[in-house]
Amino acid sequence: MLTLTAICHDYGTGLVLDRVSLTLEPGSVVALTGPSGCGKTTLLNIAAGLLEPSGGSVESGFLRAAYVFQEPRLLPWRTALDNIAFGLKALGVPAAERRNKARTLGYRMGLDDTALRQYPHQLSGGMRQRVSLGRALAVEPDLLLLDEPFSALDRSRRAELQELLLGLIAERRLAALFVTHDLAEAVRMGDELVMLSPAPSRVSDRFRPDRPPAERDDLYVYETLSALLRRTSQT
Amino acid sequence: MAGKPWPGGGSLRRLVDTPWMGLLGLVTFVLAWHLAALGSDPWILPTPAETLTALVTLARSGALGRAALATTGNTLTGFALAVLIGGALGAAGGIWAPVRRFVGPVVTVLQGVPQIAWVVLAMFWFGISNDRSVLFTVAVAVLPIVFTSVVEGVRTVDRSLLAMARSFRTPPAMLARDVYFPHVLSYLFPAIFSGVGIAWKVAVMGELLLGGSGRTIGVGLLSARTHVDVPAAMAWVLLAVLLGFALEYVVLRPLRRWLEPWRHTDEGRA
Repeated sequence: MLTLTAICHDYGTGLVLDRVSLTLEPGSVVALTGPSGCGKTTLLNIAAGLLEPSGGSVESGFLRAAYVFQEPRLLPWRTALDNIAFGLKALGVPAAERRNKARTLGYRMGLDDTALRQYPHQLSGGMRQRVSLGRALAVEPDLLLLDEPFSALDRSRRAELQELLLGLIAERRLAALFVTHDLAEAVRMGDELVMLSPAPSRVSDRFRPDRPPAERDDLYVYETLSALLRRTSQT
Repeated sequence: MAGKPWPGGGSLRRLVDTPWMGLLGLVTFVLAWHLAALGSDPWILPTPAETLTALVTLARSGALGRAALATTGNTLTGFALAVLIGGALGAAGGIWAPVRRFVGPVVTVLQGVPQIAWVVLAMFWFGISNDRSVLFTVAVAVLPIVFTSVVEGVRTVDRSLLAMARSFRTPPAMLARDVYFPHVLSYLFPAIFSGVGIAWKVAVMGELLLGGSGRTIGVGLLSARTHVDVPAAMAWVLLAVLLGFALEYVVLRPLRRWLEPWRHTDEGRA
């Protein structure tokens, strides 16, 4: 369980986050949305322990968090396989073992042996993001922190990867904090939606979709979305 | 111009677009050398064939092989010194700005000193007829290039990759080896390519003027001058040029392919 209580942050140029609180249960997905520049990434960095907040408290019972960035951030000089194994290497896992783990995971991510042998510049954008997702999952985290991981992809790639990610989250009972500026994506992925206002950000709304992710078809997503937008414009 | 018919037919046009043009240029150069040699005193300019004969004579006597080894040894040792010291200083300067500010101007001053001046200074500091003077001259001539490229390499490492590595709590040694080093190599290799060319020429110059212990190319040139043996002098020059090429294409380029395999892959299915 991750509990953020009354988090405030100021980089020295004014308040970015103003008393934001949220709770993330094991095995659940919180989708964090809001206008760009509202401090979503800042909150993610605080949740990851990469940034010390100016105020408020962070309590995390998760054992290992892994980060997926908006851009794949792969090492250009390592093959897809070695990029997936990067986090394992940082943990000191021996070469043969981490390659085996990375290969198995690579297959699960939809990458074949040819793709795993290639360098990032030889892969398509969608495949690169699969490698990046694989790298995060390889360290067997119980908490995934995702910073708009699919925003650079086209519609159909994005839908494929959303489905893959939801499958992996269910399979491994992961908790995920999923930052996105795309409200439809938030409705599709989140067990809970937390919406932030423009900076200095506060939680402007919270919402729980009433269907499990597997049953959220396009129609459900768009209906929920329009209901949400009506609700937001009324307040 | 592609697309425009070349006057005089297709075969000539095909030739001008190929690397064979380079060979044609070299052949023309040798031919011009031959004609010039025919028209002049053999004491002043030997023909290409006479030069080759001199080269073969030197090779048969064993002097050529010994000199090639000794000069290559001087070049690579001096160069390795420059890479070690310049690389270490450059890495420190890339990471810590105060080190960069402290060392940078000194390196700029070193870079401004003419190479021939280092030879003169080496005579005073290390004496003549020893290898240390030659190695010093080579190292000090190349060190600024290595330092500058490593500083730039370290400073331009992608911040987003560093943040990624930090999110995985990457230990410092792995960060240096897996993130910094491969990136710095992409800056270091172009510097090494131009640096080795300089090192090679400075080594021969230093050997000629400082003597040195071995029977090197520079010493060979000096002895050819003493005996007014122009074909031998030309043969030593030819050897220096050929070895310089060999160093780049037999040693350095394969080394780069081995260290940077990711650069030598085609675009895949992207």
